[in-house]
Formats: sequence, C-alpha cells, structure tokens
Amino acid sequence: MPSIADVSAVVRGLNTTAKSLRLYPATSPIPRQSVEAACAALGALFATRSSLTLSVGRDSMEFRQDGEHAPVGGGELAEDLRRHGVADLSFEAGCTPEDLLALLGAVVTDPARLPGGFGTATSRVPHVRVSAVNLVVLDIPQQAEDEDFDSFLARLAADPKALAAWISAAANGDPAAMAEGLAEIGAAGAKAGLADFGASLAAAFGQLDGTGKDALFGLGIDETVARGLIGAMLRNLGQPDIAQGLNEGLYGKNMLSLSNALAKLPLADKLDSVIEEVRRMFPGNGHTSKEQQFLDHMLDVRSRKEPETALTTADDTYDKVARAADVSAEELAQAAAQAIEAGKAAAERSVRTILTLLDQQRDFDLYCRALDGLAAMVPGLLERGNPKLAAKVVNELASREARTTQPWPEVADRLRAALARATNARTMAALLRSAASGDPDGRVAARDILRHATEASQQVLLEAAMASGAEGIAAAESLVGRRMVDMLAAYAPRAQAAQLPAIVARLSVESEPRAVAAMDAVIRRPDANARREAAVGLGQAGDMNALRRLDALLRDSDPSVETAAIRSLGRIETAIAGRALAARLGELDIDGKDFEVGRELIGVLARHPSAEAEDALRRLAGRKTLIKRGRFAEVQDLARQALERRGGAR
Amino acid sequence: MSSAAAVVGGLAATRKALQLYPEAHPRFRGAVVSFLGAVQGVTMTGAYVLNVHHGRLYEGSNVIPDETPSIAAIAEALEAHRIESLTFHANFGETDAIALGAVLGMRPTPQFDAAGELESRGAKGVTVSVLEEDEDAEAEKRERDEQRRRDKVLYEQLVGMLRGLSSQLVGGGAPDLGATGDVVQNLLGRLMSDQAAMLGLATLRAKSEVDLFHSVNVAIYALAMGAALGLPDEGLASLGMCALLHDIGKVPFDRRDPEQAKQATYLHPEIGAQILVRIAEDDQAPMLVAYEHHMYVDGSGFPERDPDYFPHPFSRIIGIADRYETLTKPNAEGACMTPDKALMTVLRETGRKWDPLFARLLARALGVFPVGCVVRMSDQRVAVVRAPGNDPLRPQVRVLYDEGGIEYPEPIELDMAETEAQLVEVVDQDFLALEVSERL
Repeated sequence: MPSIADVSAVVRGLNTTAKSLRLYPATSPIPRQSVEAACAALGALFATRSSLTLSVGRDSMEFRQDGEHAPVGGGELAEDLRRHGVADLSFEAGCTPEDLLALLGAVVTDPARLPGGFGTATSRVPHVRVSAVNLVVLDIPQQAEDEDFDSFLARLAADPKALAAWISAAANGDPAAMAEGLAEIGAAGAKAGLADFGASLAAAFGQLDGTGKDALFGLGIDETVARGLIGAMLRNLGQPDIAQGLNEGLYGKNMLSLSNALAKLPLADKLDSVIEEVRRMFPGNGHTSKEQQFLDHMLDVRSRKEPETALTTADDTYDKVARAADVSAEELAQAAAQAIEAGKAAAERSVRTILTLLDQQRDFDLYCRALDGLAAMVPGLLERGNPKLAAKVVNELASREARTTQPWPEVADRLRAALARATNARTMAALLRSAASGDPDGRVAARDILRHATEASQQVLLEAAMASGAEGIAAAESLVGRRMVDMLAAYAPRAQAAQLPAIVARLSVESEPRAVAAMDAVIRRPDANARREAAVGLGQAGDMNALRRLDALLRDSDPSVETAAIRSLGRIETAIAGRALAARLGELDIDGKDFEVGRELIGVLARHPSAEAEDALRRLAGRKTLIKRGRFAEVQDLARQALERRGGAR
Repeated sequence: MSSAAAVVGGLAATRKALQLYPEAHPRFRGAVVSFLGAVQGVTMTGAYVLNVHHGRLYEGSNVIPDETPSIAAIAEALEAHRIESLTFHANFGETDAIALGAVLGMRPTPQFDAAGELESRGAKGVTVSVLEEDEDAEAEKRERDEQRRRDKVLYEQLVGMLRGLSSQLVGGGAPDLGATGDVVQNLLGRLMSDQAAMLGLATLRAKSEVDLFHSVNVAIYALAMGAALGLPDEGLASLGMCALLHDIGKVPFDRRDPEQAKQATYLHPEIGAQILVRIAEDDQAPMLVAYEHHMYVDGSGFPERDPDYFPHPFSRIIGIADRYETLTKPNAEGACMTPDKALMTVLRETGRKWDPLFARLLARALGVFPVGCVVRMSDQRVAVVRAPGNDPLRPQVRVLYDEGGIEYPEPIELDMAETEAQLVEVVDQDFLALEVSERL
C-alpha cells in the first residue's frame, strides 16, 4: 500500500501545477516544473501498483485506504474538480506530464468554456479516468485580457491567491531567479499604489506548502534583492505562523539551519518572541532538549560580531594532546619489546591467575572448568619450551589431589581426571622431545611430571618412545631410569610385531630374570612376524645374549625368520657371529631344498669381515664331487663370486 | 552597451520574464525579441561563445565587465547550473531563447543536465558545454562506498561471531572459536590497509546488543594502538582476540535484573577468565585480559591482586580502549563525551589508571581530533573528522553542512591543512541528531 505521504506528494504536485496554469500556459517552464514533480511522485507509486484513484472530498482530495477516506491535501484542486462535478480521478501507470497538463488544463478552465463539459474535454487524455461528471455550467466572470504589463504584475502583487500560485511554482526553480521575480512583482505593486506588499505576501504565505514557505524564508536569510520584501512579510505574520513555518520546513531540520534562519531573517523586534515560539513547539516536532541547548548556543554564536577563536588557540589541551601523541621511535621500540617480553611471561601469569581462581572458587562446575583449563595448558607449555611451568602445574594438581579440602564429593575424581589430562599422550610426546634435546632443566621437570603420571600415561610414554626407536627408548630411560626395563618387559608380551625390534634391542642386553623371561617369550611367540622382528632387534643389540638367541633363530621353522636371523648375525661383525653363520652353512642341504637360504647365507658371508666367514666360503667353493647333483654348479659359482667380492673389498 | 552585454542582458530579461509573465504578455514578448535581436547581431559572422570562469563572464577569451547586475546574475546562474560555456548559432530562434531562459530558471542541482534540458525543450540554436564530473573522483567514491559496504559486512560478522559465542555460553556450552581467527585476521587486514575507515566503523552506536558492538569497537581501537606500537602480526591477532572477548564474563548475567547487573560489573573479569580458561591451551592472553582489564596501574581496580602483580600489556592496552569506547558512547542517562574530550579524559587519568605510554599510543592512533569528531568550522560549516591529518591539529574532514546549516547533497572532502577555515568547536553529535557512523 502507498503511504499517505506518498499520495500527498502527488496531490501537492497536481495542486501546484493547477495553480500555476492559472497564470502561465502549459508550455511555460513554471507549470512544467510542478507537473514533472507530480509525475515523478506518481511514477514512484506505480512501482508497486498499476493505478491511483483519488476522490474529491469536502475540503481536500481523499485517498481510500483500508475502507477509509484519508485526506491528502489539495483543497483548491478539490474545489476546482467539484465545480466541474467530478467525483473521482483515476491515474494509470504510464501517465506522462503531458497527460497531466491536459487534465489540469481542463481543471483550471472555466466550466463555461468547456462546451462539451469536463468529461468530454478529458475523455481523450490517456491514462486518466474521470468519473461522475456533472455537466452543470457555472457562470464565472471572465478575466480582463488587454491589461498592460505593470497592471499584470500589480494585480499579482495584490492577489494573495495568485501570488501563492506564483511562489509555489517559482519555489521549484532557481532561488536567484525567484528573488528577482518577487522583487519585480513587489515593485510593480508599489507603483500601482499597493500600500503593503508585505501583507499580500503574508496572506500568500498562509496558502503555501512547506516548499513555498522555505523558498520565501530562503530569500530572507540570504542577501537577495527580495530580502526587504520578506522583512515586510514577516512584519505581517504572527509569531506562531513564522515559528511553525520554520520548524516544519527545511530550516527546522537541524539546529544549525534553524539558528541561521532565526539569526538572519529580518525578524526585527519579533525575534525573541519567534524564538520563544520555536522552543515551545520543539517537543511536538520531535526535537530533544540537547538540540534546544545547541540552538541557544548557536544563536549566541551567530549573534557575535567578532570572529571566533580557533579551538586549538582557545584551549591549550589540544596542544598537549598533540605532544602526547608524538611518541618517539625509541619509546615505541622499547614499549614493543616490553610487550613482546611480557607476552612470553603470559603463561606463568595465566597459571598464577588460574590457581588464584581455583582457590577462590565456590562453584563446583566453574572449579572443574578451571581445573580442566589448567590441565590442558601442560602439553602446550612443554611444546613451547616451558617444562618448569608445566611441572609446576602438574605438581599443583597433584598436591591438590593429595590434600583437597573442598566440600564437593566428586572433587578428588575430577582432580585425578585433570591430572590424567595434564599427562596425556601429547604431554608424553613433548616430554620425550624435551628429554631428547638434552636440556638438563627440562629433564628434571619432565621427571617431576612423570612422577605424577598415571599408569596409562606412562604406557603412552613407552609407546611414544618405542615409536621413536632406540633413541626414543633411550630418551624415555633418561627420564624413568631402570624402571624402563621393567616397563619394557611388562609390555613385551602384548607388543605389536613392529614394536618388537626396539624392545628386543633394549632388553637383550639385560640379564635380569624378568627381562630374560620376556626375551625368551618373545622369540618363542607362535607368530612368525613377531619372531622375525625380534631377530631384527637382536641384530641391533649385537651382544652375546643376542648371538645366542639368533643362533637359535637360524634354525627357525619359518624361512622369513631364518633369513632375518642370518641378516642380523651378518650385522654383528664378530668371529662368533661368523662361526655361527659358517656352522649353519655346513648344516644346509644347499644344493637341494635349502638352496634359497643358502644363497642368502652366502651373500651375508661375503660381507662378513670374520676369517670364519671366508673359510666357510672357501670350503664351499672348493668342494669336489664326481656326481654334481641338484644346484651344485650354481652354489659353486655363488661361493666363488662371494670370495671375489671379499677379495675386491680387501 | 556592448554587444556582449546586450546578449547577456537579453538572456537575463528573458529568464525573468519567464518567471513572471504568460507567453502572450507584451513584456515577455519584448524580452524575447530583444534577446533574439542581440543574438542575431553577434552571430551574423558565425557562432558566438560566452564562457564563464570563476564567476566571471567572457566573450570568447575577453572578460565582460560587470556593468549591470544582470551580467553577474547570469554568470552566477551559469555556474550554478554547471554550464561552462554557451554557444549561440546563426539559427538561434524563439524556441531556443525560451528554452535557455527556462533552463537557467530551474533549480540547480549537483547532477543538473543543462544539455539534456535544452534538448527536451527543442533547442537547436544554442549549445552548452558543461563542467565535467571528475570521473576519477566518481570512481573513487564508488569504490569507497563499496569498500564501506564490505567493511560493514565484516563488522556484522564480528558481531555475529560474538553473538554465537554468547549463545553457546548461555546454553551452557564451551565457546567454540573455530572461525574467529579468520574474522580477526580480516579485521586486522582492513585495519592495516585503511585504519581511518575502521576507526569510523567503531563510532557505530548500537541500539541493541550494546555489549557486542562495544567489544567490536574496543577491538578496533586496541588494534589501532597495537599497530601504532608496531606489534607483529601474531601479536596483533592475539590482541584482537583478547579485545573481542574481554567482556565475555558479562554473558552469564541477566542484566535486566539490577542485582545481577551490579554483580556483572564487578564479577565479569573473574567469570570471563573462568570461561576463557577452557581456550587458554594455546593462547593464554584472552583469559588474562578478561581477568585483568579493570586492574589499574596504581594497584587499584578489580579483581584485587598482590602488590607485585602487574597486568599484561594487552590488558593495559585494552583497558584504555575500553575506557575510551565507553566514554564516547551514551551511558544509562544518554550522556557521552565527544571523542576529543574522551581522549583528553583518558590522558588525564594516565598514571593513576593507565599506563602512560599506552595512553599516548591511543592519542597517536586516533589523532587529537579522533575520527568521528563533529567539528564546527570558523566559516560555520560543520564537518565530521574522517582521518587524522599530517598536522595533528588539522585533521581531514568530510563537510556535511554548509554555512547556513543546510546539508550538502554530497559531502565535501577537505583537508583542514589546506583551508583557511579553522576548527572552532567540537559538537556533540546528538546536538544535531546526527548518526556519525552513517556519515563516515
């Protein structure tokens, strides 16, 4: 639905156009401007609807909305239409300025001069429909046609209604041109003996809409040729009319323009009473007390004769602020460095703050949140190289768990959970890295943390250590000491095959019964993969225990285990290892079913530095037989090539 | 009378007659005939050109002396209608005379199209050249408008993000800062490329969700200070996050209840820290800032702390930004300070409440007349500060109202260092019922 204001804008444009058409032909720019404004307003309405119907009311045009007729202004237009017996006007989308001018041209024409009546006169106007035309012809006196130009303007000056029409039209044009025109009309009136053009203007003022009133005020505010005439008009207007005109128009929009209007309009001795009236109307016009306060201030400012002092001269605080804002590069660099340094200490401050919050906390949920938050900081602290603070957090959690005095039954469980969180897998991985880095402080702090780690967390540490191989286990052992052997022995039975090399490599060198038992169990595991990985670990250990166990694995029922054992023994560059390999070579049916294992063994012996290895190869290469069965010749070739490689290597 | 004066006088008389008389009126006819005669006199040997430059009329390149009021009036009218020159041709006739008079009688506007108006009235014997729009300036304005639209979207994203966090907390959940980092990075990026624009956004006054807008504004001011300090990007990102979350401890309180509102005032630092403990795993600064931002450098403020406890630098920066923002926004009674006075107040409180150097950083970042100050000039025009100037006492402004207090259809950009006008007053935006953030 269009708003009443939107429809009123259309009616206002039509009304103004009709007024100007009484004075000017339709081709004149004056009605043209008004009709274009009306057409633009109509166009805006047609964006959401296809037609607009206006009714002729008692005192104004009316618009039917929600079953009610709402007045939308245009009293004179309504009066004219009533004279023509018109009840309703309908405008359709596509309506042009020419259509409207044709309609309004008929509206302002004396009904007696429309031979076919209003209906006939407007029947061919596109996009406009007129209803309920009464063909009564009224007797309207004709205008004089042969007057001279002075009397034309003089008559305009003396006729408030015509003057209002002229002002309405001129208000849409250039203000400078309007000032010239008004001065001309005033002069013509004076020449013709009009006693007070101001009174005529004042009467016209009362018939104007906001735009017309603003235009007249504008001519009085600016130094125009019409300013004196506006002064005369203001003398003839009542204070409420002036105040209302100002408040409701362009100049009442803000206190800058209102104060300017009040200060510059030639109000003479009416100034104070108009200001009083303006203030009285303020609340009704939606202005605040702050705005009123500013109006008083601006009236005072605008009444001053001497130029205002620059703010920065009048108040030296601005200079002081400017000096304060001038921060030197050195000061900035120093402050930035301090900020960055303090940022590094934020972790310590945070821990302190959270501990304070914990001690002050009376709400269980919030207490638990703080606990969790504190615990969650630990891995990050370790990762960012702050193991001491991480240890402090863990110690604080542990000590609270040990001596909790809080009244909540579940608090001990929550503290344990927090401790577990603080020593989670991420923490353990960070601890290992810290230990591996060799930082003695880090190692001390890490040991502190591990003291409070749960069984599960220690398991996580072990797994993380194993994942990093021998280095990881060594790093973990630097934290937990000999306990590492127990942990590995305990873990070995359920270790995955891939974890076994590291476990076996570490446990092999131990003679403790638990470690020995664990090792024996590992190399007897039914899973061939496990035995194969154990063989790899034994090769890494390379100690006497490892040799013994590898010797046994050389005879494993699974060829892959056997091969792994051969290769591991090959890595142990001792005579005993060479002897074990040579002995195994002697046991094989190398020309027959054991050819594949034999070939592997020959390859390892070729690289093994022991004399036992060389002897074994020479024996093999020097075999003599009458019947060359199986793959004898192939084996002889392999042995000779192995010996050549050894020779080449030497 | 010179031929030029006759042409200009004829044009002035025609314009006036069009205002006053019907076309059949003898004076109208007289004016048009006289104008036509004058033009015919000068176009016998070819086209005749009138130029206007800086309020003066030229016949070709010769100045036409201001012998009559009509010459000055026509010069003024041509400039007002953005006409640079008029060329009368030999075929100049009555239609042209009436059209030209009518066009010069129309209300001038910044977009006035004199050539189009003449054409629509059938003028063929007179052509105009109009003052060209500065295309670069137009393009710049369009780009500025588009950037401003994007900045508002970013601002809304920040508010939306805080709204989401608040909902999570009210629902009893933990704050999920998933996308927050990206939004803060965007804010940071914009602040680095156009700090003044972002400071302009921070003048936004919320009609609802005041806390959310406050936090975003504090983040903008704090980042401006951090940038002035020369913090690295990572530090600025953390500072921005701290500022956005500094008041998160107010969320659990229903501050429509006066008792809870009172509690919120004093307890929100501790509650905020409790909330942010959960996200302190990687960056502890937001939790610390929530806890410390009401701790003053002289040991006063709250929560209470040990004498050796000195707040984190971010807490000290954000405390200052928080104070400035609060001073510039209406309190419960609707009162607030203008930005310049708020800055002075912060500086006055230095030493007792604020770190002196960080308070000076605020002044350095905002300028003596911070962005958003509404200033009255000695020529009575009123403008809003849009950026600090090279001279700290002469900012760059956007002039909104002319000398008479009428609003410009298009604001005028002005560097106070390049004008003789001086600032004579900083005006409370409420005095003009003005929403400054809409004008920046």
